[in-house]
Amino acid sequence: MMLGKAREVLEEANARPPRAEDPEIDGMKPPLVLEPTSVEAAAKTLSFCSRERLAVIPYGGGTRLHVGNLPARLDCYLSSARLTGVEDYEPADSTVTVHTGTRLRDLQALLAKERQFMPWDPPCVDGASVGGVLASGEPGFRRQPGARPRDLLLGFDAVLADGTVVSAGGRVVKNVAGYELMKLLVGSRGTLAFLTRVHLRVRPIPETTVTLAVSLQDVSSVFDALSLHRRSSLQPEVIAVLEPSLAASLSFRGWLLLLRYEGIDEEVSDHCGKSEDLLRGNEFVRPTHGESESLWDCLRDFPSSTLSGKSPIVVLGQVLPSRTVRLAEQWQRKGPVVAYPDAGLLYARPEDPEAYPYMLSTAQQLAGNAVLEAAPQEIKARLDVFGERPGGFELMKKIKERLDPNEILSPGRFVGRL
Amino acid sequence: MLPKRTLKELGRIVGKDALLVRPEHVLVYECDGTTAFKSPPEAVVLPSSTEEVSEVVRVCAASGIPFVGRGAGTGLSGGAIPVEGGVVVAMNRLNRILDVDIENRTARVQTGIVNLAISQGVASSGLFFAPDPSSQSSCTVGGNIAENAGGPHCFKYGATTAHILSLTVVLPDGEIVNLGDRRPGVGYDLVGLFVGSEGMFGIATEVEVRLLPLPEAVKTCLAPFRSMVAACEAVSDIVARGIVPAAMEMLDHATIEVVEAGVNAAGYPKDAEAVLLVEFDGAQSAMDRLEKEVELICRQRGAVAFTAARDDEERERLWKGRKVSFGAMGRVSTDLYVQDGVVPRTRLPEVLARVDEIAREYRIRVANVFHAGDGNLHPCIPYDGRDEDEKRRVLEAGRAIMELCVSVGGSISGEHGVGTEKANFMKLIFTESDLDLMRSLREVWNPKGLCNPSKVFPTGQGCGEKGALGSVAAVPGAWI
Repeated sequence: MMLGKAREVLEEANARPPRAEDPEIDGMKPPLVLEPTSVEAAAKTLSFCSRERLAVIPYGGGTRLHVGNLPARLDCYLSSARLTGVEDYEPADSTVTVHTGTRLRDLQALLAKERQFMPWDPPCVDGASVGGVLASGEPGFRRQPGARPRDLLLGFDAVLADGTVVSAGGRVVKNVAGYELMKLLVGSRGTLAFLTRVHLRVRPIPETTVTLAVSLQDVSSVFDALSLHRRSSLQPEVIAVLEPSLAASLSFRGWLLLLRYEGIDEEVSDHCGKSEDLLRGNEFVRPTHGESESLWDCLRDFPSSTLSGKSPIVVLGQVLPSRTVRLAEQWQRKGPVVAYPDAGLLYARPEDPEAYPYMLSTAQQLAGNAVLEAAPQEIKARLDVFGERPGGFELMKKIKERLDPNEILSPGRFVGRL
Repeated sequence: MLPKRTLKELGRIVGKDALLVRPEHVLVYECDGTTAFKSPPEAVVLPSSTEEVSEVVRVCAASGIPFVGRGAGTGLSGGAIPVEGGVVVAMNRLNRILDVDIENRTARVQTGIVNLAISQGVASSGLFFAPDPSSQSSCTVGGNIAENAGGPHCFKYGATTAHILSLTVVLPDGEIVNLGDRRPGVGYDLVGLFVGSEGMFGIATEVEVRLLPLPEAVKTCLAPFRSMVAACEAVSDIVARGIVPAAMEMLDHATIEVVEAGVNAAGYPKDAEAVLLVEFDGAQSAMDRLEKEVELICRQRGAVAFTAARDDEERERLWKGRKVSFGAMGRVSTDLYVQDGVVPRTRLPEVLARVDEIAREYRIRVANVFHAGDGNLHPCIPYDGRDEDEKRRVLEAGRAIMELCVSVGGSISGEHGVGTEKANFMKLIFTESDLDLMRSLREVWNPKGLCNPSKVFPTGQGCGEKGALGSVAAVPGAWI
């Protein structure tokens, strides 16, 4: 009886053994990959797994699946690969409804025809799925409010751990009916639910994008440059600071400050001019469009664990914007670092596999935190890769217990091993 | 009436001058901006610190007394009404800016501070707080957080949730927690979940808000149209062109008439079927081109004129007409019912046409004033509350309008919240499973259900069935 039921569920979920191209998590692959083609099949699958207490790790493109603690258990992958396609796209409403297994790249191609886009540039963007970007909550280098996954997810359909199908939000750009469950699921890394379909707000592709590259002699010039910008009315879409070793690998001298301006022609050219005035006396480059896009591609993929020729260690720092460069200064001793001072984030690729405790403690000294995004299994096994527990952890634990009482969704992988 | 022992305890915590119990003192706390729903509290406390809020909440939790946090009471969904009596925790004495961090563009404030006071307090540093519900000169940031309030400029800047970085919250058992510490991805986004939870997850006492640099230039333009459909199409064209104005607001003929007859006449042409207010902000150098492009779009869609405010005074006058339009309805009737629905922007013309039909079917008047860029409608229905039959028709029409919004893929609230008023409309858009998920989250935060009870979730009774829509006074100085 049990076996018969299991076979039926597995068949409906297109169960198969893992293949070479399926991603690993910390050197492991589960014995089964489930690829349901409908929300109903996904619901039956999760309901079955919940009853049988089978540990399920949902995933999309698998490009950010390595981020997280070692799985406490791993019985199967639940893939969104066969839940694909754009269901409804109305450019004049600025909304699109899409199944979560859809590749971000495919969605971008469709939106580009109407001069619209999702302002997301996650690492390994070619493999990333829409659902994966939302579950990881990582938008890439644009972190301005209004551009992040948390700002653009309008509504969703998802399957809860026990197989219940739920919806929240809607497809309109403004909506306060019911609790903001979208915020709860963005960045929850597959620990609360399996997203199947989402409504997104799209943005117009900026008319013009210009990047200013400024070589600065030392870190105090970086502080000065940033401070001048922070006290002006200028708002670059992205500010990035590369420490000298990373800058040198891109053929720049000293510390490199990148300012990316996006918007309408007049505004961008006006702001670039004002930036140049503020930074007069420094070595300026206005890279061509192609050059600057390849610079940003480099930064986009910097935290990618599979980047060839780079250390397998990736650390994400989180600190107050004004302290970001100070932390970058300390971390550069351990390896290349790129900082995003506006967002208060920085990524480092330390050479020393044991560098993380130093990086966490230096971040904590500045009232920040450090996340060990990628590292060999034996190092991850010893610690909580998310660093310091956040405020409200007890509430998070209760939410997890309430929504996934049998601990089947990505068990042990989230902060505090939730 | 609360037990004497409890009142004594509350008085000890907040001080005698901060405890109100006499019926004439607590009367004002019986409703919010939607005066349709009324229920007085048994006591009101006015705490002066997070610790006092926590102690008050502990007393209530220990005695099983319901309690409701309240800001300025300008809400328009009955969210701050003490439906089950108990204690109102009025946050008005927690109204200070604690710290401004210019370098990081943030401010730490107490949640009882008036929204506009934040922008006024940081203006000298060239910064402002973006959320601007029309009630911003009196509503509090705590209320904005509870409702995830919007406002005209959230078209460009996003609703309140985009501007809240961290919170100090008194949980419904009295525990004080700090949520949100600039660590995206490390744990669940509890700040994001708390904002918009309509006061049911606890009482926020302090908040770190994001500030934005004041734009270098602002331009406000007015385009009158002979047809509402054409005006709505112009809005869609502007968006489709990739232009992102700071705000796009629409007023229909009925609203224009009322506004122009009042003391805040804005100079809207009285013969227009619709006026569109478009505002841009940003670099000075971009203003002229944006104005020209939008003027061209509007004229192509049949705008009979297109004018830009020449100075701040003119700009403020144009906005004033929009912001007082709700209060101005007091000229035409004793009572007013304001709806808040959202539809996909491209469906605005057909939805507005259908709203007109509904008005005819139910023999009521509807004036439309709305956030056109977001597709966020505010049909205003003036009526005489003494006429039971008219009141019934108003309520039925309100429900029909909600059903209409949902039928075209919209929602039952864009910015006012569900509160008491719309609890029974929740089933129009959510299944029982969806509601159960929300209930289970409420139980995590608020297991005893004492914190702002009887809100958001359907009760099974229609909103008019309890005689809820008693007297909906058109309050001058109330806003949408």
